[in-house]
Amino acid sequence: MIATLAVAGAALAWVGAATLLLSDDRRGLAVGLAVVGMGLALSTAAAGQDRLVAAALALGGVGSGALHLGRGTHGWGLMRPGATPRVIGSLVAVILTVVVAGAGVHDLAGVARLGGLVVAALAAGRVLTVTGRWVALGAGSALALGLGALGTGPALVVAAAVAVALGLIDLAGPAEAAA
Amino acid sequence: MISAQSPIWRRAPPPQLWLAVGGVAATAAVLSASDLSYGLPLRDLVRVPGPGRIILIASAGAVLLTTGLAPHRISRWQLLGAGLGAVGAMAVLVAITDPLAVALLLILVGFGWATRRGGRPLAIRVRGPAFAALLLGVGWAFHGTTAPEWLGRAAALSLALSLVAAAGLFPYLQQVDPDEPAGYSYLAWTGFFAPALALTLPYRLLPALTPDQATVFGATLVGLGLLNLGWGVVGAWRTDTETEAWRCSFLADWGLVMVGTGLFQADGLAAAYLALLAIVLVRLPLYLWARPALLQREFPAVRGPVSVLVAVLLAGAAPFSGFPVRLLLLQAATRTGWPLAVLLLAGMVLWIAHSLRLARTVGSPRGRGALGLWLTVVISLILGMFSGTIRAAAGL
Repeated sequence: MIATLAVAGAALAWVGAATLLLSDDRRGLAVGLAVVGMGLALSTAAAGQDRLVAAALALGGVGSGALHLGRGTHGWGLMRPGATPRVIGSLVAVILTVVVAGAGVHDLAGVARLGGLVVAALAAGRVLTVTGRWVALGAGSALALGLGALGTGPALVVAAAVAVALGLIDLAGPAEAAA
Repeated sequence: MISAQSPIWRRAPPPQLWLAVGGVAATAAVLSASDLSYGLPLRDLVRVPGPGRIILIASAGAVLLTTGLAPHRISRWQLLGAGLGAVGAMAVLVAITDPLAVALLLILVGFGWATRRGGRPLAIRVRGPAFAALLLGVGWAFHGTTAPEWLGRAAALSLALSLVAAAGLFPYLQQVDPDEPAGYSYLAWTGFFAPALALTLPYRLLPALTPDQATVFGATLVGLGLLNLGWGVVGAWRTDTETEAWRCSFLADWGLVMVGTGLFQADGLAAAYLALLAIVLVRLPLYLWARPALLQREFPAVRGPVSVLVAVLLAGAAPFSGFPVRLLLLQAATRTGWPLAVLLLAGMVLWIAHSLRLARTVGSPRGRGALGLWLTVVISLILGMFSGTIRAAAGL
């Protein structure tokens, strides 16, 4: 049962990161961040992390997503024309991660780490390819959540704080159109 | 309208003032928390190694020197606020002992620094720090993996590459726009943030790596160090624009730093430490003194003793800051293997070719600029002549 939760959490985190990758508008980004946070929290809690610390990760994802919804247009912007390479990228990233890093997975903590790694890889891919300010900030939040899930205790709390801080930077910055 | 007689606190725009105060407070808190960490419930979460302490002080000094005396197009208050804020951020990066937390804070600092208005868009400016954070975080998370063995080695490779990405070195060269203010360009990372990381991260990472992983880490740094040295000295000599020549000169300096760090010898680490101090206290200020000429694209011929002095300084000749770096590095390299020393020596000889070109861009400033330039020359002289004392101050 616990193993199923850990795997389900990692899968949920991948779905969230893929949503973030495939969305060109704020609602998609916000939902993606929230799902990433909840998925990683579920996965890390199932892997034996302190539940309060894992909850902080969920809170970081949801909070950051909510802050990104605080301004601008609120569309989904999912799978717009030209998104095919990103669809393929999100699938290739998960396959590559499982093939490359999966060899080092021997326990539930390894499964949680795999979830964090997929999120970090997809988010970094987004940061390195976008030109819009808020998309970069959202992807930066996801990157922080993904990297945080690779660690234990304080790293998860720091990750949640960084994700929320990037949401605040977006909220405080100049308004910008959809990506 | 602000009159020249306005009290100083009225002349400072509040956000910059708060940023400066926050930076100074963070630096003071980190330095004192590091001393008191046994008594505070911080355990080993916060600790500043000796070289980290010195680079923080050097960075604060460089901010004051360049803000007060270098020629700028933007308000000095803005620069002071941003500079001291950056020192505060550096202090936190230097003090945190968990490399994963450092990776997370690197994201925050990278995005925070990129929000400054002006220059390239935020999304472009955060790419280097974000990629560095990814490499550092992933490398650290997987360094403990013993089965399969290659995954641990790949993690060590990722850790070494994170340093290269943070500093914007070859092969992660960032675009440099000659018209972009220096504080907004990637040189802020190459010449300011990354030296602090380079001085502290190896101390955090190396004790945790297996001998195999440490070999990969060191070999990557030495290999990329030689590449950056070669790319830097040839680029600074042959490239079309003077701005690009300055960028390449930073790469050459970083090449020496990476080779010194990767050799894992006391002399090599001391050479890297001295070279990083010279980047922060000498090369970065000299680049700022060269900015007016770079922007106007007018370069006077090398004339007068000042230009010759700057050329000698930039060439790394005795008694300036570059000389002990070269001496220590060659000593360390000779102990490792003479072919490495030969390659380094070739790079150091080629280095002379671009020093005149860079000195030409610095020119002979007058007034406040001249004072700053002479101060930089004196600092370089101190770094060169009292290198033993400066090493001892960092416990190296």
